[in-house]
Amino acid sequence: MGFDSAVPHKLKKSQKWFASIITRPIDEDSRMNPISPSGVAMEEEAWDFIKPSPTLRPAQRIQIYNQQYWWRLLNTLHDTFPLLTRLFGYHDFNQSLGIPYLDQNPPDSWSLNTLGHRLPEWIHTNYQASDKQLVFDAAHVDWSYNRSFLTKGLKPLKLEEIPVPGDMSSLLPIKLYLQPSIEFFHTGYDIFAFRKEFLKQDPEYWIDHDFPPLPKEEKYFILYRTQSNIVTWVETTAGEFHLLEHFKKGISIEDLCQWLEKQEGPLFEEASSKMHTWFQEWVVRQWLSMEKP
Amino acid sequence: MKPYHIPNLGIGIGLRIPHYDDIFRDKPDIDWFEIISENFLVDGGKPIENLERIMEMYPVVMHGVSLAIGSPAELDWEYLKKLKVLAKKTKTPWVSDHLCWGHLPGAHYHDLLPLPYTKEVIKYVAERARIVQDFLELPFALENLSSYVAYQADEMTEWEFYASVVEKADIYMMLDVNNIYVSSRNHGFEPKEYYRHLPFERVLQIHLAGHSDYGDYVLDTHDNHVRDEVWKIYAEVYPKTRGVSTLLEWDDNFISFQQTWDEALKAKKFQQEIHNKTIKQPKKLLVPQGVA
Repeated sequence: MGFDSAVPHKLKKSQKWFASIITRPIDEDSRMNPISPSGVAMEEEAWDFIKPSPTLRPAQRIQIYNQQYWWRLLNTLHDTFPLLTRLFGYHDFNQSLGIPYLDQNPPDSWSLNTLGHRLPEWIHTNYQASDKQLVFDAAHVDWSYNRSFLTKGLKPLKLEEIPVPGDMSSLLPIKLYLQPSIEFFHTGYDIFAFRKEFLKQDPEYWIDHDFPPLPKEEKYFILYRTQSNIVTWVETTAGEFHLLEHFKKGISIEDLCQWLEKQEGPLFEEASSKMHTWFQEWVVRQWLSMEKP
Repeated sequence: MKPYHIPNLGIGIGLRIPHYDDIFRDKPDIDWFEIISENFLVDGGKPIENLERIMEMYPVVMHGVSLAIGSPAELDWEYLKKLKVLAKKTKTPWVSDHLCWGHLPGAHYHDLLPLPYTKEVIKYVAERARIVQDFLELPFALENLSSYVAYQADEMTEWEFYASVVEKADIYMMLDVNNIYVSSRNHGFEPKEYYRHLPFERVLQIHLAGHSDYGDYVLDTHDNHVRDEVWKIYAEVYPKTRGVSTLLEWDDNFISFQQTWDEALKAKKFQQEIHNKTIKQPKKLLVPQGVA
């Protein structure tokens, strides 16, 4: 999307200036940068565009918009990333993650729902402290909750709607897909129980309280949206995890069985013995669809 | 003006997440709900499920915050197409948004930013607003802002600008009486001056809300009761509209659903008082003693 060819030149100029001012980070006391992007004192430059009010100077007036811009976006990130916000506390979240992330990734959509979509990746690239893995996982889980909550649901597979009702073999060659609301997590700790404990208290609480325990242990989780549109999760096994992942890109039961036959060891044994039960559970939970995402 | 029928839906409140439990449990006797359009321009999940449940019980009107009609970027047709699909789904009798700007190509500021009040901006915005109304095939209204800056480039008052845009575009007004008050304080004008010359036949809905007074300036925060000064404006503006739908917005520091509804119902009291004033009081009947 480009500029509207009919936009008046003076309007465009003043809007570009306005945007350049309000998007610049506020300081820790929520004050506007006193120097404009062109290097002039804001107290001086603001007079070129803004009138004073009976009580405020032009720079004070535009500072209101500068603050509103940052407070609104940071609040949105706090809501979208509740675990991450609690790990840091509001102040440190804003200073270490929120403001630098938004400064480098200003909103590019009319929807605030997408504001944090690059934050996990941003953390992966830019955050270098010793707790990087936990911070990244927290961001990933928080974002996945948001994405899963709002994403499209596909028409679920129902066994009474298979090509030949009552004949399960007619389903075998049909490509099945995973609901887009499903996400997979393979972690070195129980991040979901940890998150659940954290969310019982406000971010301020955790500033002077010990964090919940997070023992190291290899874990597999599936995050999904229930039939009543609640986002929740289950812990699973490596076998079910790897098998179910195949449906992300779409696969038939026939092809999945062929893949499974080529596997060796515990994965093969577990999957071979439990696949039938798992499949029934996936259908009951409405995780699979014949519709392509 | 385009021959749209604009119904008076009565008194409504803005549909917000903290209210859902009360609404679904008690099915309160509310005239209508206003939704923030963008909250439901999503692909699926709980928001859509909730909206469908609300629509089974109440009329729903769409009010947007992201159109940013005065932005220098081209109109966002993908957004408008989604808006039109939602309008068909909700059967909204009209669609409204704000007389503001809010994005440049590729960048969105998520705020309702004021425009300079100039003739060339009127022409630019009115043309775009007319296109939006034609595309939506529904009455389209723009709401006056609460603003905190005025531009050196301004050539006229806000009310002259507002009236000119809606008349030139042949669209409607969503008149926010709290915003009139907030802007009057921030810019130093008399609220009466604002609404003295508005084309009231174009007003299709009134917004009410609370604000926060910081002394040197007033912020439109929607987190408090409607102030007496704002009710006073409502009492003067409402009769001029000959009766339009009225809505209370409450977006933060939420009170209970019942308290929110009670606050909105104060509008009914003002409407009744206005109604009573216009009806001639009947003379008292003289009843002969001993008969009654």
